[in-house]
This record gives sequence, structure tokens and C-alpha cells, in this order.
Amino acid sequence: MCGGMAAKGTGGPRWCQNRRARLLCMLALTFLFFVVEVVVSRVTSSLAMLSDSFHMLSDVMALVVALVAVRFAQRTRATKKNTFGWVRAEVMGALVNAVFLTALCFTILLEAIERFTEPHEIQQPLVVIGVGVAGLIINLLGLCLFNHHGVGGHGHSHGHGHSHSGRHHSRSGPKPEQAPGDGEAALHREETSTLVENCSSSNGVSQEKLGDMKDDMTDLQVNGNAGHYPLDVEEVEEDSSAQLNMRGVFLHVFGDALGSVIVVVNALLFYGLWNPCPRDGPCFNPCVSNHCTENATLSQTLSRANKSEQGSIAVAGPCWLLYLDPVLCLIMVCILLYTTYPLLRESALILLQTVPKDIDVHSLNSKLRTLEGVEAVHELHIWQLAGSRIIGTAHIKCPDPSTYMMVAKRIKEIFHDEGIHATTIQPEFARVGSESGRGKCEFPCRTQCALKQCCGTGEDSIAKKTEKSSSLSISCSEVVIEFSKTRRTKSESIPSVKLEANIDQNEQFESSL
Amino acid sequence: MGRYSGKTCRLIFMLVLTVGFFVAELVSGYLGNSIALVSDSFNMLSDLISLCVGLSTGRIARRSRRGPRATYGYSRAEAVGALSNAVFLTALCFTIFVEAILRLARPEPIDDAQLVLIVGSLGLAVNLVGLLVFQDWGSCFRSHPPSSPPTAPTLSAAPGGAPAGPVDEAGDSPNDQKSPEEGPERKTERKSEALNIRGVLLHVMGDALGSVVVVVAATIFHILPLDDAPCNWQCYIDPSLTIIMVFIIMSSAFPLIKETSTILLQMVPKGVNMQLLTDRLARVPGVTSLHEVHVWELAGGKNIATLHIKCQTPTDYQDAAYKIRKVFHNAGIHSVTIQPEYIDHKTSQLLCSSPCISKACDSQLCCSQRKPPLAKTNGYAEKNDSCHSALHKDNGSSKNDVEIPIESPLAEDSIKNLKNCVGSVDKSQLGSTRL
Repeated sequence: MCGGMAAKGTGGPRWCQNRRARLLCMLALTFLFFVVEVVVSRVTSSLAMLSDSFHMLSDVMALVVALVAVRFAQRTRATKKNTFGWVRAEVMGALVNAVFLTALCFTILLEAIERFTEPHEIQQPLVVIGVGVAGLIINLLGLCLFNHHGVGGHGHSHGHGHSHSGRHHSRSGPKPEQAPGDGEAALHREETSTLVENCSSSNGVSQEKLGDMKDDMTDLQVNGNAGHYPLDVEEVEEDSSAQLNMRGVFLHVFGDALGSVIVVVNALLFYGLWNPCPRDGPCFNPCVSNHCTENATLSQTLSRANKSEQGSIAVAGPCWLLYLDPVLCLIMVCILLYTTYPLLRESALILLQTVPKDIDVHSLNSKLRTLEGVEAVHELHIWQLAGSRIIGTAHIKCPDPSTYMMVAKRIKEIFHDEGIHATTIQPEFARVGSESGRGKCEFPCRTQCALKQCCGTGEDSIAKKTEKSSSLSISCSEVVIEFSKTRRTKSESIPSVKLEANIDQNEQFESSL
Repeated sequence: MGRYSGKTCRLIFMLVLTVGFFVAELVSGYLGNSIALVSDSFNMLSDLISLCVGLSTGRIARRSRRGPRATYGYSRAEAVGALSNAVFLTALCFTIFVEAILRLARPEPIDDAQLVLIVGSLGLAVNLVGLLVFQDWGSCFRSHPPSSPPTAPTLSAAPGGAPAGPVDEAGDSPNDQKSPEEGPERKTERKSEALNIRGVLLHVMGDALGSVVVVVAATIFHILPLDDAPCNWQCYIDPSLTIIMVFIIMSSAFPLIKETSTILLQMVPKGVNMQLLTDRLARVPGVTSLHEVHVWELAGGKNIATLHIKCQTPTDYQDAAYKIRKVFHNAGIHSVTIQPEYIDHKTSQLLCSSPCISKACDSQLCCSQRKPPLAKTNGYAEKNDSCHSALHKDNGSSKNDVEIPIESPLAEDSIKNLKNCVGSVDKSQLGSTRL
């Protein structure tokens, strides 16, 4: 189980570097401890411990989410349901964990507020200390397990650490030298083992029914590949999306550890400093104000004090101790929120299809435009699939196909230098070749479906076109829709479509003739 | 703008009312020792938070301009907001569930049943007012009878996208001008707004259910007061109803999570059959093979596709491009980017001729080129040996992989082939490139 995902034959105990193994171990430990805490709370009938044990349960849930994400993300092959494979799963797992943690902070906050209004004494502080320390030990163990994925850390990289950080911090510049390191090292073991698995059995995950012929092709190619791949991987270079996922788990465990620290500190102080009310005898507890009984006890104790001249009424211990717990909880909530926010932001930005931080779209656009033979660039989209997989698409307008072929490689190089390796470049040609009969509306979707296009047909601020760009001139007789009134809805950027009888052909930028 | 200030006022009124009621419920929950009331008050606060999240993400998404930081704009914000709301709700339900179980373990009676009853019913009234506010908002926003999105199971979510509208500049809805074919498209666009609002409405619904539980439990205690007797069956009503309520909320949150996952995980949108689509695409004349077919949904019915096709000549490509787009259009995908590659007999039909300039970038491609997914050839089946020879070449190139120019034999081949293609359609030259 623990070694199941490790590449066979790479030597050495791999389980400790295996994400899945770590998650499973932590999961087992935490669940076990949760059960222990529940039992102990029943035995000592301590409600506080029972409620504390459920914090461990939330830990368990976070670990489960992370595990599911890891399992999904290992299926990097495209399937019929998901043409990108499931690599996004870890980013989503990170987001879910971050939001979950935020919600837990919220409930802890509310509990703390409740404690302010109704402070509780800790019953049996010794038991609480014992269980608290045990929980703290488990949490510290978990922190060590996931420490490499702590805030801003990066995963194991034996001997290629610099290349890993290089990949993150410097997208341009010495890419070629680092590319080979990354190329070899960044092949996931999971990917490799998926290959290995594919060889042996055509399981449903990878071999979706793509057609009989295709299946054979895939089989053959997979088989051909498996021969020389798996053992090339020397180390595990964890992708940044995996790091995000692990960071989510780390933050959960961190929060739990903080909680355990608070419990232990609180119980210790309580044990040391608190003077509890003795069972028998008069006792006045000024801290717990129960308005129903307050007057009764007060009058009672006062009457008794009058009787006994000693006046040594037992008063329950220093009240500030009761407020220590909620105050510490508040501090813990602040710390947790502060550390969770970056994770939340990062995973949300990836899921929002934003441009990765270190890529400057403007400069990329200008680099592309200044190439010889490139007349215009539009529909330039860059987004991050997960980790280091960045995807770009662009429409390049060239005078004619031969020019395009000359620049095609340069275009790919420019993208490569930015770290974008999966690109789809669509050439468009201004001059109509021999097919002059074709109208301007090459694309059935140019106007009718304007709303359903990813970005409308209007021009965005990125693609600075050489021609006028805010209107789409159509000569087709089919197109009769007028969108003039919708100019106000800027968010849709729906262009106004004007019907014009004669159009300067060279102005048309969308034809792909 | 003027006519929308009323809506903004109502929104603020709604927010203020909810905040005030949250405080009132919290206080009376602790005074009356009713777990249901306390959890209901927390629900109201979570309502607020989810309302803020939902509205702000709706606003972000609506204002989505494409910019240097986000080339697709921020239309995904709604899906992310909906997911956050759903997860938040799940976490809250988890804590409520835990507290209910604790209450079951140690039942306590409701002390001040009358107070709890009063406050609980007022809370229920506030929830219903909130629902009505959203409802009213929705119907006022649309100038024509709204076709409520078919995908809102919990409540009639006619206010799909409505609440965010008035506070935004999107004054007149583009609905008004639509030609008939926009109708269904408008509906699907409303679907994504509905996604966002569904997250908020889920919270409101959970809140309303909580209030119902509170009212029921308090009524029972009011009618049959316990006074100082030990807990009987009455004390178990509260937590057990709460547990039932948690399950109801969870069962309606789960579909929302699934739907947002479909979008966020870049899955193929519902209603698109990849198998069929690739079959049709492969049959387009001029296309020899295609690979790297990706279809995904940006948000709210906007589907995007990219693919690489291999064809013999540029003319083929130009002919095929139009037909390919038509195929996609019929499948509901309207943003397509097609990359042509020209036939190069050195590589397998199914492998990309120009994945990137270096084979070493393979791991950073969205899909590894060594196992081309969803690639199809048109017509003939490839011979085994050509496959192996292609793979063999991969092997060779991956070992020495430092310099770019040497390393991309495939790309260079394809460039050479392209040049050959352009000059003459002499296919015999295609095979005669280096390597």
C-alpha cells in the first residue's frame, strides 16, 4: 500500500516521500486518536474532550479530501470525461481544504465568543493535559510529515533542487539548461507508474474507449514507451499543484497543533493556579455568573459568613483563568486565517484561469507582434492548468501560409521561453488565396454565438491589433443580427455588427482563408 | 442608475436585518439554552457570509474584463464562489452535526421556551422575507417573463443572477434584444449565474429549515413544559430534528458541488459527447488526423475547444477549418482554436509534430505527448513499425536534450515539410527530410 505508488526498483524506502503514503499514515493516526479521545471522554464524562475530539475529526476530513485529490490527480491521462486528465484535482483539493479551514476558524471564533459570555471551568485538568499532550505529539508528527510543504516550501528534490526553484522563480533566462533537469525529474512517478499500469492492463482509467483502432495505437505506443521510461526517474519532483494540496493539509494539522497547544497550556495553568470550589462547604464563584442562583448563593454565603466569624469563604480561583481559553482561541484563529489566506488566494487564482504570476502577457504579445511575418495577434490566452503546466492559445495573422511556416517555430520558441509549453497556434491569413468565393464569415460562430464565445468577438485590451478592431464587418447575408444596443454591457464585450455591402477585404481579420 | 438604488437599498436593508437578527438570536439562544436557536443564529451569520461571497463573486464575474492578469476575464469567479459557499456550508453542517450528537449524548431541556419560540418564529419570518426579497428582485430585473433556469432544484431560483445585476452597471439586460436563437443561450448563461446564487440560496434554505426546527422544538416545550423534571423524550426532539435538517441540506449541497467541480476541473461539459465529436471531426475531408483535442467549459455555457489537426496542404487546412468549426458549433462549442500541422511521415499520425520546441518540455505540456490522448486518424490504420520508429526517435531525442535547435527534429522536420508543401504539392519530397 505505502509503496504501491513508488516506482519499482528505484531503491530506498520511498514510502516516506510518497504523498499518498504520508497522507494515509497521518489519516490512520488521526482517526485512531479521535477514537481514543471519544472513549476517554466517555469514561471521564468530559464534554470538553468530546468536543475537542471532533476537531480531530475535521482533520480526518481534510486528509480524506487531500487523499482523494491526490488519487485523482494521478490520472494525468486524458479521458472522455476530462480531456486534460484530472491534474486539476489537487488545486481543487487545496481550495476545498482552505475554505473548510476558514469555516472551522469561523466556528471556533463563535465558540470562543460563547466562552466569553459563559466561561467554563475545566473539569479534571489532569486528564485533559494527558490527552492534550498526546494529541500535540500526533500533530507535531504530522507537521514533520508535511513540513516540506509548509508555507512556501517546496518538495523533495534530490540534487535538482535548484532546478525546481529555478522553475518557479525564473521563467525566462536559463530555461534551456534547466529544462532537461526538469524534463527528466519532473516526470511524475505517478505518471510513470500509470504508464506501467497501462502496460499490464488496459484499465478503465487510461484506456477509455476511444475506438478500437485508437486503442491499439495507444497500447502499442504505451508499450513502446514503458520500456525506457520508468527507471529514468531518480527523484520525486513534486509539482506545485501537489504542493498546494499538501499545504492545505499542513495548515489543517498546524491548526490542530495550535489547538492542542492551547488545550495543554490552558489545562496546565488551570491545574496549577485554579482554586476550585470544594464540593462541600460554602463557596462563592464570582466568575460564573448564573443569574438564577447568584442571589441565592450570595445570600447564603453571606448568611453563613455572618454566622462563622472566620469569614474564610472559599472563593473559586482567579477569574482571568477562565478567560484565557477564549483569548488564546482568538489568537489561534487569527494566526490560522493569516496563514490560510495565501493558499486560498493561490488556488483560487489558478481555478479562475488567470495568467500565472511570472508571465507578462503584454510583453509576450509585443514579442509576438514584432516578429517578421506576423501581422496581428489576437485571442491570446494563457492559463495555468496545474503546477507547471501552462497552456497558451493564440491566433496569429500572417499574410500567407508560407510566411506562417517560417515564423511558426519562432512563435513556439517565444512561448517556450516564457514557460508555456502547451500551445495551440491558429494561423489566419489575410489574403484570400484561390478561394475567393468564401465570404467573410468563415466561422459559423462569429456572430450568432457571440454570447457563448469565451470572450465575445470584441477586442480585449491585450491584443492590440494593427487594424481597427472594435467592429466586425460582415458581408454575409445570413447575418442580420444587430447588437448595437448591447454596447452598454461591457462585460460581454459584444461588438456591434454592421452590415456592409462592400468591405475592404484586407480589413477582415478573422478570416482564415 | 437611478432606478436601481431601490434595489441596493433593499440589499443593504436585508443585510442589516440579518445582522441584527443574528445578534438577537444568539443572545436569546444562550439565555434560553436552546442549541437549535444558537445554531440557527450561526446559520444566519453564515447566510451573511455566503451572501457577501456570492454577491461579490457575481460582481467580479460580471465585470470581467479581459486583462493582462486574466485573459479570460473573471467569469469563473461564480463557480469558485459557489464552490466556496457549498464547502462552507458543509463545514458548518459538520459542526452543527457534532453539536447535535453531543446534545443527544447529554440532553438538556430548553429553558425559556417562550422566548425561544418568539425569537425563532421571528427568525423564520426574516428568512422568508429574505427569500421574497431575492425572488422579487429576480422578477423585476428581467423585463420579460423569466424562464427560470432548469437547474435550480432547491428553490425556484428565478433570481438567477439578479441580485448582482442592479448594483452593477449592466443596466439593461441584453435579453431584450435577443433574436430567437439567443434564447437558449441566454438560458445557459443564466445557468452560471444561477450556480452562484444557488450557493447563497442553499444557505438561506438551510437557515429557514433551522428556524423551522427551532420553532417546532420550542412549541413542544411551550405546550408541555418540563419545569424541573428530568429530560424525557422532548429533549431529544431538538437534536434529532437538527440531524435531519443537516442531511437535507447536505443532499442539496452535493449536486451544487458536483456541478462546480465539472467546471473547475476542466471537465468536458455536459452535453458534449467527445467520442461522437472526435468521430465527426475525423471525418472532415482534409483532416488526416487530429490530436490534442481539448474541450472545456469556461463558465456558464461558454465552451472552449482547442485541437491540432494534421493535413496535407495548407489548402486542406483552410477548407477543413470552416467545416471543423461547424462541427463544433453544432456541438455547442463556439470558441475553437485549431492548429494545423502538416504531414510528416517520420512521426506517427497521432503524435504532435510541434508540441514544443524541446522534447524535454513534455512534462509541462498539458498532456504528455508520449501518450496522445483522444487522437484519431482518418482512414487508414498506422502500421506498427512506424509507431515504433516514432517512439524510437523520441527515445533518442530525450537523452540529449540541452540545446534547442538540435533537439527538435520533429519540429524542424515539420517546418521543412511545410516549406515543401507550400512550394509544390509534391508529396514525394515529404519523406526526404533529414533524420
